[in-house]
Amino acid sequence: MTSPRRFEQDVPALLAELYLAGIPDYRDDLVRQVAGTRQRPAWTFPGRWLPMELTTARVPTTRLPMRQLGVLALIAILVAALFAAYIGTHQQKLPPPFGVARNGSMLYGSGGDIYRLDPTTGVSTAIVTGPETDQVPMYSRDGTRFAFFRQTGTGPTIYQLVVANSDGTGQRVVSTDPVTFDYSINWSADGRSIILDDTHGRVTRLDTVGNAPPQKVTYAGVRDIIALRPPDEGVLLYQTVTADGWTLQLVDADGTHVRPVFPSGGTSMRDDDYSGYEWSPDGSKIAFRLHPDASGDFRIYIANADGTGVRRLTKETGTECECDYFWSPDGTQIAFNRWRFDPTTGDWHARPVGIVSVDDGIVRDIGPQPTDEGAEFAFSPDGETMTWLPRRSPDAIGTTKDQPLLLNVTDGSSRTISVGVDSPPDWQRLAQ
Amino acid sequence: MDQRGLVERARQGEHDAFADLLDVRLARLDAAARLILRDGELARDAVQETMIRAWRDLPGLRDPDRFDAWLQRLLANACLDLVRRRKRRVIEVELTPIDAPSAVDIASGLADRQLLDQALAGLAPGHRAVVALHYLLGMPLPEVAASLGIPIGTAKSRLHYALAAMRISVTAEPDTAPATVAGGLA
Repeated sequence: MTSPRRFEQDVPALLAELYLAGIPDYRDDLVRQVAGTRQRPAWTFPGRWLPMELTTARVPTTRLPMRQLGVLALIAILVAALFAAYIGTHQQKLPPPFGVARNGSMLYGSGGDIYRLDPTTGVSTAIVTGPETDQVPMYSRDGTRFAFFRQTGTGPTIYQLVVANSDGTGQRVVSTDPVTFDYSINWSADGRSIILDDTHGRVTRLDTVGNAPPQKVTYAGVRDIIALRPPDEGVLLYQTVTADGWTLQLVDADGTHVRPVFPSGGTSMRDDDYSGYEWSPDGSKIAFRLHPDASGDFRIYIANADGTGVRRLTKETGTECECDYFWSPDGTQIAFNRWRFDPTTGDWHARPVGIVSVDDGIVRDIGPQPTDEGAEFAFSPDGETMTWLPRRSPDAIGTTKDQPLLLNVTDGSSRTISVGVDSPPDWQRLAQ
Repeated sequence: MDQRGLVERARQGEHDAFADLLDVRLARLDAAARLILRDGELARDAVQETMIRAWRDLPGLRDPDRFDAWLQRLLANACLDLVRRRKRRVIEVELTPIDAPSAVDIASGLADRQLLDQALAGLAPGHRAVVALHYLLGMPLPEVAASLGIPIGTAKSRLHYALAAMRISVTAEPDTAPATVAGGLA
């Protein structure tokens, strides 16, 4: 009998014998294909942050008739003011981009179409249909529009990002390059753009209203851009390498006032020690996952937005992985997935979703036992309900349908929404 | 020339440098893709997609030392994207008939490899991706988790499950009959 340890040591060699078969016979074809493919121009990947004043500095031009232009501008301002006053009295009130809001409809993808669901009545209506495969809808922060992935069928990793009005009309493709499911996609606070993070540290701002070209967002010395701070996106959290090792830092959006999240001389970590960063809805705190002692223990930590007050949030013992943080809209609680390590079997076991109080660090369970992959969950805009869905492996997206649960955050009671979804539903925010 | 230099030259658009980078990696990437997809043609598609995308986006790679990790991540995503796009189907894999070994020994060669292959066929593509990245491509587990967009706990759990399945297969009584096994694409 071979010991598990010995077996594990033998696996790489066994796999190499099984699958390594020399240089594949398509090598020359591949080299020819590459030779016929154009590289993306280097300017589309600027490696340094250029302050906007530099990139948008005006070039002196011919002197303009300023007096005439001034009169025209005054007239335009008057007309705009009158128009705004008219619109202001007739326009629907919108919710704030972050924080507590009223619950609206839910969007979900199923069978390649997008549906809108009334969570109160359970009535569901298809709003994006057609031959394309459309998936993973995401409402804008004001709930007036949504974005979704559209499979174009031109290659194995080719998806477009499409934006539509909340009723599915007015669809327009906003991505200029292919996107994939592993991209992180966030609506900006004002809803005028989508922040696209390709998870390789490249962040692009896509215009969802006008026709401005994609704007790359990069900063000097920043390896991995993590998250822009709500509500104004004026501060960036990022990961970088210093003389002491990997660390988290903050920088103002104009590229100034760099400061560490951990105080100088504090803990420095390896590349993989930090992850899972989430700003609180009001931007006053950051939650992040820390792997403090290389033991396999991954815990929630929080810090103030200025980098002070770093502390571990939960008080649970044992070896656990606390992952996938979701702040409640009022910023008082964080929900998360968790797995516990069993030292006797060497296995990790998923546990029910935990909700931790930011004030006292006390954790309580909510929802049923998830799959080995954990759960997909999200607070409703009013913070009183949570959507819950068993998480499926990435290869099962679009092939497995689940019925979401609505969990009462206060007492944990649940009810099932009787629709089959192939990705987690997304909740619309409405003004209170 | 060292790898960093080759990556820098390829980033400047030198095809020869990219071909050099490709030559020393192609066999292992192809092996990883075949392990994940269990289909030679699909593996070829995934590797082609990976290398063309790598060439196209190489000017955006900021740290040349991260080239391998970046390439392996592209491969894993190309494989899993292919899986997502295909309806479930059964792939017939012909295996060579063998004589039963006299004793179960992990290092005993063909029999164990065949059983190992059967065990891998029974795993989900997502589990095989963890095995391929970690054991065939030598990627550290936290990086595997990041590459596949899954928590580290899930990566560990998948690896543990896959190892258990492989270990059971090679320590169980081997089947001496010629084998045809079904591999699945979820």
